[in-house]
Parts: sequence; C-alpha cells; structure tokens
Amino acid sequence: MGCCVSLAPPEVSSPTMAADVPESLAPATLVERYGERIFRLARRLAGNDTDAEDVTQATLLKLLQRASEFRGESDPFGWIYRITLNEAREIHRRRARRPAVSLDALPLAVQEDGHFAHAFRPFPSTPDRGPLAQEVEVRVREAIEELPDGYREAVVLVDLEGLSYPEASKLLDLHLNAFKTRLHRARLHLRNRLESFWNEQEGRRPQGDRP
Amino acid sequence: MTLSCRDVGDRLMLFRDGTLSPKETEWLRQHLHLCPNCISLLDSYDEVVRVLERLKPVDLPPGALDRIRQRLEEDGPSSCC
Repeated sequence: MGCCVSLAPPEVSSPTMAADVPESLAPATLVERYGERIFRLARRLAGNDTDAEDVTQATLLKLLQRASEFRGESDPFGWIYRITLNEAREIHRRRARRPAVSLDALPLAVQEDGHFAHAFRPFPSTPDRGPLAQEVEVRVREAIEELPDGYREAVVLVDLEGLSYPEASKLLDLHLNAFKTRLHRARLHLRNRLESFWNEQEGRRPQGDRP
Repeated sequence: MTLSCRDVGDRLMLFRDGTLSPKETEWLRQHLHLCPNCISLLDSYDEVVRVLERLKPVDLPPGALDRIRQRLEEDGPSSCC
C-alpha cells in the first residue's frame, strides 16, 4: 500500500464537496457516510468493480489511520478525493494494464497548411435510452479506461463528478491552463472513439437507410 | 489575424466555455463562418460532452459496502497505528 503518497490538504471547497466530519470514525460510520461516494468515484477511475472495492477499502483504511488529521480537515471530501485518486493510480500501477494511448499532442491530424487531414461530420444525437444508448455508453466507458491516468482523472472529475476546473486542477496539482489542455485532449480522444463508433454503425445499416 | 484549423482545434474548449479572449473569439467565429469542417468538429465535441454528462453512475455491486466494512474492521482499528 502506498505509504508515501502526498496527503497535503487540497484546499478544495465547494457545495459539491462540502461535508462535516462525523463524530465517530468507526468503520461502520465511515462506510455508511462515505463508502458509496468513494466507490462510485473509484469505479469511474478504476474501470471495474473489484478494483473499485479495493480502492474504496484502501481509501477508508487510510482515513482510519490518519483519523486525527482527517478530523481537523475543513474539506473532508477534498481530502478523500485526493486519497481515492492516489489509491486508484496505485492499483493501476500494480495491474499489468495495456499501455494507455498517448495524448502528448493534439489528437487531431493536421496537414502542413494547418488544415485538418480529416473530414469531420456532426454526430447523430445519442438517444437517452435503448440499445443504441447503451452501446454508446459502453464505448465511451472503454475509451475513458484507455486514457492515461491524468487524462482519465480530468474527465472523471469534471465531466462525470461535476467539479469545476479550479477544483479539479488543485486536486491533480496542475496549473489551471495545463489542466484545461489535458481535459481538452482527453475529450478529443473520446470524440475520435465515438466517431469510430458512429462510422461502424453507419457501415452496419442497409445502404438504402444511409443519409 | 486568421486562425488555422489547428488553432481552432486547440481552442474549442475555451470557446465553448466562453473563456477565450474577445479578440480570439471573434477570430474563431470568422474561421467557423468559412470552415464547415471545423463546425462539424465543434458539433461532435459538444455531443461528446453531452454524452459524458449523461453517463449514469454505475450501480454498487450487491454486498460491496458490507464487504468493505468487514475488511476494514479486520484490517483497520487494531492493526493500524
């Protein structure tokens, strides 16, 4: 277990994350109070239930071990988020996962004259429910999982957890502009994956149905 | 000043958020006026953000919280500092 992760308070505070520290820090109280929220965040970061359970357990254990520090914390959810992020990274390192995609550059091919090398088309609107909506959801979750840790964290914190850019950038110890670049490239990667999905869908349809 | 498609690709998020400078916003709008390809890119980018915002939280597996509590009770209070 990561004994040396940074646990400096992230100084993140917003209505999204504000909460009081409970009187009792018994395991049952912690699980009841924070378990579900940590699990959902961990599940989005780790990508599967087993790892999410391990991350949740490790996060709460760290909270027990550092109870006095936690009691003095004015922003308990910020503190918890940071530990959850660290534990999720730790479990990613331990698992022999396939290498993440590289997003060091803008994930859009550009020609020498500055024009894109690719003709984009608007996507169809994704339906709210039904088999197609489920397929889109699966594809997007897969695309999120293949992002490098820091990029996945940016998408999870802002687009799924609803944190503001300043909140998320503080949690990830990034300057705001660096954080925005990371989030933007991650979204573009997801866009590219969703484009492949819609192209496959169009390939499956009978020719007469194509626009 | 004109922006290239590459410049637009770099600035899409800030443009959507309304945090691009007024001057750059105007340049980007001028580019979009002339470039249907970048309009399509912007539309598809918007759709991705919409899909992400609607992504449902996963259900907790049955018994997950009980298992976590049990492991904490076994590993936590007595063995920790």
